[in-house]
Formats: sequence, structure tokens, C-alpha cells
Amino acid sequence: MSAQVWIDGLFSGAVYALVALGLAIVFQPTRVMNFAQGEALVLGAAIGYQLIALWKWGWVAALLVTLLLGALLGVLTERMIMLPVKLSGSRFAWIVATLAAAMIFQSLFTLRYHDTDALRPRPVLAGGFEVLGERIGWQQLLTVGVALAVVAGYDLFLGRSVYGRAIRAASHSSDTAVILGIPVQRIIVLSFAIATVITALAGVLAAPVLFVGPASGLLFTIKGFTAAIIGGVGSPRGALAGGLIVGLLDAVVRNLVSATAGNFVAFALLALILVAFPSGLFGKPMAAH
Amino acid sequence: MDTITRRLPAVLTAVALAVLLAWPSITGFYSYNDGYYNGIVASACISAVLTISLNLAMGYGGMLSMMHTGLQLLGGYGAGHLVVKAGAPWYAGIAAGVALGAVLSAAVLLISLRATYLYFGMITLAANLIVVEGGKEWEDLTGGLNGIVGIAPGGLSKTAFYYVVLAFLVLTYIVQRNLVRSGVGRAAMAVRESPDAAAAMGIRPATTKALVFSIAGGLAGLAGALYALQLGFINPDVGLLDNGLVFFVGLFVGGIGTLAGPILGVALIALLVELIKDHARYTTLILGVALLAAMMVIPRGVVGTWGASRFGRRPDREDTDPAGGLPDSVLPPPPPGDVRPSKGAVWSSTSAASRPWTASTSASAPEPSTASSARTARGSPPPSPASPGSIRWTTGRCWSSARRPPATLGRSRRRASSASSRSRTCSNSSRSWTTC
Repeated sequence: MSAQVWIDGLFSGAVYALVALGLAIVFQPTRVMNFAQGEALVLGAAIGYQLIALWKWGWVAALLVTLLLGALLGVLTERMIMLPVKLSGSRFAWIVATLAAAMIFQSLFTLRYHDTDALRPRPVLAGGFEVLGERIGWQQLLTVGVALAVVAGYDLFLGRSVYGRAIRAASHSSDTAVILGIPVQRIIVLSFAIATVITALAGVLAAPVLFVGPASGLLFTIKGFTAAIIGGVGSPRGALAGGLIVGLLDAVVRNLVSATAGNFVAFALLALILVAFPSGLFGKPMAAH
Repeated sequence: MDTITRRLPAVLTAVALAVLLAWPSITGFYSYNDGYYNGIVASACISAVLTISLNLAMGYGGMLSMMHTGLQLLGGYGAGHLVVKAGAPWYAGIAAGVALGAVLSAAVLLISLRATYLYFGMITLAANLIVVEGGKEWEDLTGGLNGIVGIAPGGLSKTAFYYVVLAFLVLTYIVQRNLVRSGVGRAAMAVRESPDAAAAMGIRPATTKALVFSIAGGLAGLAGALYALQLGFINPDVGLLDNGLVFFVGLFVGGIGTLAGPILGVALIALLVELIKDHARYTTLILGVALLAAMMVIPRGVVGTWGASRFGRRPDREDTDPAGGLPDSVLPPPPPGDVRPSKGAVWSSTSAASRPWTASTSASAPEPSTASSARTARGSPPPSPASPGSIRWTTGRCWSSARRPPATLGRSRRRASSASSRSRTCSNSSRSWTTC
């Protein structure tokens, strides 16, 4: 096992961490685990593929379009998920609504790119460099850097800014937050938009290296879940730690044993961690709701 | 008019059953492609079995299960392996599917008893993925990615097996109905609403959950075995969560937590899929949009909305609680210091179980604690401060402050405060009143 495995693990771990962060951002004010989160990653990959590989617009345009469409998708997802959840009284409404949204987006992507196997644009930063005989792609370094920066930035935003405080208040008790004059509805929309943009950004960055197919959104969602839950839902730092754990473990086991054993071990670890620590490694105990 | 609408569900059930029984003859008479139409209805019946199982786990048990496709896969593997590789008869395969499903779901539930709601769902999701990945890897038993092919109910024609599937659907429905109406079912619904309150009433949440979830798992395994025997193959793709959407859609369109909801929902979905089969590429898209729309328009599903509507509601006299209540021997009278309602008076929250208490006579000796614990548990009016200091009431456990050693007192105070922070229900079992 070479150091290359660890580098690959770190890279995919950064991508999972961004997905997990998106899940945590949506989960905090809404208490909804968004099964459609991985579709945002596919959206990012599709934008990268369409704009960079097919239309040759360059990656600046791709990033701008990702920001725009990501925010749009976020607002759309919010409507598609929160409206049925509110109107339907069932406590399982969220899982069905998010699964339905995921399936709708997945079928849209599959219909659009049905002849494409992998959405693979050119990397934002081509090439790489060598450290101690190991090759590190600039793209990989960039992705890990972006993941660290985004997690740190969101952590600061949550802790220091007025909006961050409002989000924390709304996630603590939305009724009280409404009484205090916090626009909870707007915060929920904002959270969806931020989460979707972050995950779509991860898609643009990941697509040149990782395999992202039009239908692989749910897989990334589940990997993100694993990361978010290992880290404890709701904390950005936990999402980062969980993502890196999942990515590294996946890569190492994949290298040592076999390709499918990586998934197997990751999910078995998820089950084990949940059995031992029912609310995640870094999470606070959550009341049933 | 009233009688007609009230009898409508029964009449529709009878018609549907008759059509289902006569379906092979109907298709054989009208269509050259009768095998196809029989297969569609049989597959829908199998989906209905799985959706009933999901309804038991989620609707009645309150346990979010994302492993039902995995249970189906496991049941299919059991049946396929036994029938194809070991050469056993088909009913042995079905028995193996049921056993495998029940064992896996019981195991998953037992290791995850501490996990609450969302995290329990995540554990079931992990279990589902483990089953799928295991199916891909363990080629000797499962045939790897290709799965097991050539599974057939030896000695039975397709039409005969159609009736087998139909019989199993009816059986599953009866199991569901009887379970829900039995003590176990009532206990499961109490645990779903609040495990703490249920524990205070003397229900064991863990046992109840394990029982209901294993029965649901067994039914899911049954659906898997029937699936494998009906379609002749089983492979890891069957277990993917993507396929599970159909069952969730069926459950929610029909009505979660209703007896007939799963069957009706699956029937509607099967009809919809059949109608749009010329545009099969858009099936998932249309199903997803239909589901979101259905959740907004009929939030409680077809059956739930019907039951809540003017037509489906039962007339008042049917809706009343059984008269008589519990015998006096099991009903301790209210505490002496409390305001006691006069005979026949009813507390503000007239739940079914608080009524026998109000009906109990004031003649028997004061033995206060059960009434108080039942009261604390269901959030009825608090005891009045008529005799302060003599007896304290906390979360189902009572003690007179003189008799209690201080250390224990402190401990149960801590316990009381932690319990009261959890929505003021008592986590002690109702047995504790006998100590007072």
C-alpha cells in the first residue's frame, strides 16, 4: 500500500465531507435528512461536463453557473421537500419527500445524459507535482483545500455572523425563534441554497477525478450520510472529520482487500459506530422527533 | 345514502377480491397475452405484501425502516438458494425466506435498541447496504452480480402460483389486521407514540418493538421469496434503495397506518405504471411527481383521507369506547389529597384509559400511586396541593419523605428531573407502585 492510497482517500474524503456539510446545513434548521443532497453533486458534475468539456467555456464560467444553478436548485428543493412535509402530518413525510425529490432529479439527469457514462470534465487545475516520489494532482490539492476552507468558513459564519446565530437559534427551537423575530422560513430557504451550492461545488471539483455518473447521486448521499453521522449530525467540524474518516477508510480497505469491500467496511463501521455511540462520535444526543 | 357510503369499502373489497380470483380466467378469455397480465397482478400482490410489512414497521411500529428492499433480497436469496441449488420444494424456499427476513430484522433491531428514530433509520440503511454488498461478494451462495436464475415453483403452473401469491397476500393482510387489533398491536402503537409513557403503563418497549419488527421482517422475507419464485431470478439490484421508492409511494398514497392503505396504494401505483408503460423512461419521474402531489393533496393517503372525510367517518355510536371499564379489583382509587371527580365526571382530557378511573367508586381504601402515575403519564391535571409534604408524586414513583433514605432520595430526584425534562412522562414501569 503506497502513500497514493492515502492521498486518494484524503481527496474523496474531502468530497464526502462537503456532501456531509450540505446535509448538516439542511438538517440543522429543518430536522430533515435530505436524500436529494447527492443530486446537487451530480448537478455540479453535469455543469462541469456540459460547460467545460462540451461547450469549452472555461472553468470560471462553470463556477459562476454552478453558483447560480446551485442556488436555484436549492430553492426548488426546499419547495419540493418542505411543502409536502408541512402539509402532510406524518412524521415519516421527510424521508418520502426527499427520496421522491432525489428520484425526480436522478431521472432528469439520466434522461438528459442517458448516453454518457461518466460526467468527466477537464480538471480545473491540470497536472500535478511530486512529493517524495508520490504524485499529487493539483485538482486533488485544490479540492482538499476548498473543503477545509468551506468548513472553516461555515463554522465561522455559524458562530460569528448574525445570520449564523439566527440559524442556530432556529435549529434550537424554531417556535421560539419565530417569537424572537427571526425569519425562520427565510433561513430554511437560505440553508437549502447554501447547502446545495456547497455540494454542487464539490461536484465540479470531484467530477474530473472521481466517477460521477448521472445516476450516482444517491450513492454520494449515502456516503455523505455515513460521514455526517460518524461525525455527529449538525456540526461542520464533525462533518469534516467524518468525511475524512470515511474517505480514508474506503480507500485503504479498497486497496487492501477488494473494491466492494470498501463500501462494506464503511457501512459496517457506520452500523458499529451507531450501536456504540447512538448519536455519532461528536454529536450531542438527539431527542426523537 | 349514509348506509351506502358506509358499506362502500366492504362492497369494493368484495368486488376486488372477486376480480382477483377470476383474473386468470378473465385474461385468458379476453387476451392473447394473459401470462403478462397475470404476472403484473401477481407482482403487484407481492409488492403489496412488502408494503404491508413496511406499514407494520413504520405505520404501526413507528420504526423507520430503510432495509425492506434488503429484506426482500435476503428472502429471495433464501428461496433461490434452497430451490435451485439444494433442490428443495418451493414452500421450503418460502419458509426459508420468512425465517431469514425475521432473523435479520430481529438482529438489526436488537443491536440498535439504543438508537432513536433517525439513527435507527440510518442503521437499517447500513444493514440494507451490507446485505446488498454481501450479496455481490458471496458468490457461492448468491451468485454474485448475476444472482440466482432459474428459480421456479416446481410442479406449479404460473396460474396456480398466481393463486398461491393471492393466498399469501390475503394471509398477510389477516396477519396485519389481527396483529394491529391484538394487544401487541395496541402496545406497539403506544410505544410509537411515547416509549416512556408506554413503559409507565407496563408495556415493555424493547420486546414490543422486537416482536413487531421481526414479524414485519418475516413478511418482507416472504415477499422476497415470492418475488424470486414469481420472476424466476434474484440479484443484488433488487435490494437497492432506489427500488424501495415504489413501496414508500404505495404506502403514502394508500395511507400510512391504515389497514387497507398499502394494498390500495400499491394497486394504484401498479395501475399508473401500466398506463404509462409506453413512456417507461419517465416512470420514475412521474412516480416522484405523483408522490409529491399526493402528499400535498391527500396528506393522509387515500384510506386515511376517506376515513377522515364525512363519508368514511363512523357514526357516533360505533365510535364510543366500550362501556363498563375495568373491574374495580384492578383499579386503585385516587390519592386522598387529590381533588376527586364526582361520579361520572370526566377529566378534561377524556382518553379511554382515564375514563375507568373516573368511573371508579370512592368507596375503596386509599392506595394512591397508580392513579397518580397514570395521571402523570398522560398529562392530566396535576395533583392539587391539598396536603403538601405528606406524600410527593414524581414520575410514577411515590414515597413519603420520612421513609426514604436520603441517598436514594437524591438519586430518584435526579432521575425525576431527567425524566421530567423528557416531556414529563415517567420511565419507571408501573410495577413500582407496589413498593409504596
